[in-house]
Amino acid sequence: MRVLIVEDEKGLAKEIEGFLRKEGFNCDLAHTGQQASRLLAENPYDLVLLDIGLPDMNGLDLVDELRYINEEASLIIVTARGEIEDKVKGFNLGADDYLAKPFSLVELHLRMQAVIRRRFGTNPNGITFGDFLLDPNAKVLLNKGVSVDLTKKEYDILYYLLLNRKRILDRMQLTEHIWGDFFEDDLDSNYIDVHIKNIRKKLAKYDSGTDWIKTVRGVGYRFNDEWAI
Amino acid sequence: MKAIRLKLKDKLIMVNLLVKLAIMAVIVLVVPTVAIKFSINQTDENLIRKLDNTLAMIDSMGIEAFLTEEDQAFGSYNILKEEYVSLEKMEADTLLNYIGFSERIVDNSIVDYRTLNYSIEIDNNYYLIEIGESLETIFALERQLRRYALIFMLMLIVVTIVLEFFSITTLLRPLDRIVANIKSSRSPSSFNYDKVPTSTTDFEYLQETIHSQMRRIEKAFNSEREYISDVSHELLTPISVIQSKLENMISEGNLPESELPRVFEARKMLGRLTVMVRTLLTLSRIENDEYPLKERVDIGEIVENVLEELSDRLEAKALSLKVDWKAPATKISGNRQLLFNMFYNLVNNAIKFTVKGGITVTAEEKEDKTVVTIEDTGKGIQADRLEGLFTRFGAHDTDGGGYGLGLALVKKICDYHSILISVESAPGMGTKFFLEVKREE
Repeated sequence: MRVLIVEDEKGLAKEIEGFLRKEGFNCDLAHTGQQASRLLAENPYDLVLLDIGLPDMNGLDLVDELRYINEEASLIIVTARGEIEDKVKGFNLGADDYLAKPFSLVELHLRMQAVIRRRFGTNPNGITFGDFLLDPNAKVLLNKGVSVDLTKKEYDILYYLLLNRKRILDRMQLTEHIWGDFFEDDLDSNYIDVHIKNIRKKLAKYDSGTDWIKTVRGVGYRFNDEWAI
Repeated sequence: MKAIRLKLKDKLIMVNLLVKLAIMAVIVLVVPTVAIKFSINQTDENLIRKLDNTLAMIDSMGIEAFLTEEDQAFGSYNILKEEYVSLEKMEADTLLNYIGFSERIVDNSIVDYRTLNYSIEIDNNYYLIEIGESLETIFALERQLRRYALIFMLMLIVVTIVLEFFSITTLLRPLDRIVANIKSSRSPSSFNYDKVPTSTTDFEYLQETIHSQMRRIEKAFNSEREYISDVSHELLTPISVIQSKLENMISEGNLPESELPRVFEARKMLGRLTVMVRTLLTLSRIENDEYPLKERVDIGEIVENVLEELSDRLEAKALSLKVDWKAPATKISGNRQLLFNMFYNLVNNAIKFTVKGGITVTAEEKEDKTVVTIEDTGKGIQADRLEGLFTRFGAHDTDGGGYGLGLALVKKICDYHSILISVESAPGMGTKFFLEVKREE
């Protein structure tokens, strides 16, 4: 999967690149509109991550160019300006998603997954662990074909943990993902802990021997990768 | 003295009315008096002419024709007693020659006369000629004049006031339209620069002045908007660089787990900074009218969504939730995202500061308004902190991590939507927020 990251802030671009490489993406970097324009003409990208606040041109102009060169590519727009009109304009031009700076890298990953899934149809195989199967298309968790009764938020948390199963997710990342960024001033709330407790309880009903979700003290949680298949 | 506060139109009409009343008073008082003076002068001239006639008659016919030895006084009235001439002999010690007023009893009633007294000397005898003319007609004229002048003037005033009302209203119409145009534009960018047609140069000048000022404000507005956008870019870009670096440090798993909480602490602080910057930017954007108020928003639906979104938090804290929605559908034109944020903040705060008990959300109909109440059984707010509750950084409680911007945003969103917000609270008594929403048809 080839990704073009158009981001004028080099430090941020490098962090995104490092993160996405680990996830198995093949990344190119562009720091200016001109670089991006050249790279777009040269390579067939599957996904473009575009910061519209570029030093040499309005990123939205690049959208036209991208659509002209490569109709197939998915597009996620990033902005720190948060202008409402830009968001609307971006969607009108065919952006697949929109992220406001600062965003969490795991959130970016999730959005990219969703965009890719939308573009390439259903995810053929869900994520399995033990006797469980999480089906992101039907948004259900199954144990030997029997549906496990999770609330929507519990499902979202579990999916987020599974999607990032090699990684520690801190409580802020989880809170932001579940409740959005509604100007929450206590992002480190213990509501997540309550949800995790419930998920553990529900999983234990089917498989009491395994601690699927590992607590990282003082930080957050990690899916217990050793048991994942 | 306190100046009377009135519209220009009413003031003009009032001033005109006062001037007219003053003129009328003068006319009603002065005109009859002058007319009387004039009539009396006329009468006097008549009297003198009659005296001349009488003297001529005496001269030609001799005094004997009027006075005899037996009858020493002569008097003659005309039929209607409007005038008379009398002639009598008098002592020589006082010679008279004057015109004056006198009253006479005629047919049992007192009649005012203007009388001329004149002494003549014939053959060493002195005679007094008295010629009188009734003033009844003159006084009647005066009364008539006064009455009719009053009626005429009153009619004149009514007619002119009606005419003035319409002409002044017409003249001032462009002014009303100029004001209406200013009032109808929420922000300088939506100001209508079409000129209101007027032939009054003052209004034209006023319009030109307003338009040029508006353009200046619009320019300042736009540069402010750009500034906010630039500041947000400049602030949020470095924040996102730091955030992604910290995030990668945590998730890559290269650090020993004992070090992770420290990195996470830094991330949490950065999160607070992010929330503050975003909230400040939202506040500025609202101040700049950047959020369109075009959506039809059902307040009940928003509250329902917010409560659903936060229901798991209530459960997690084992708090009860009571909803008593007794108001009709409350729809307003507004911004769904902002209103959602506003109610989310209020309910989330209520949950945050409540340990035991629960949250009660009610809605009641009050005339054309719906009053939404969000009540908690939390620790309440001290009286001295209530005052600055809605101001920026006027945090009522920092223990729970609040930095005082949340309620400033709530207030700003309420103001933006013309929703009246108030709070009632005391330590240990819980907190009650009231929101008065005017229903739109």
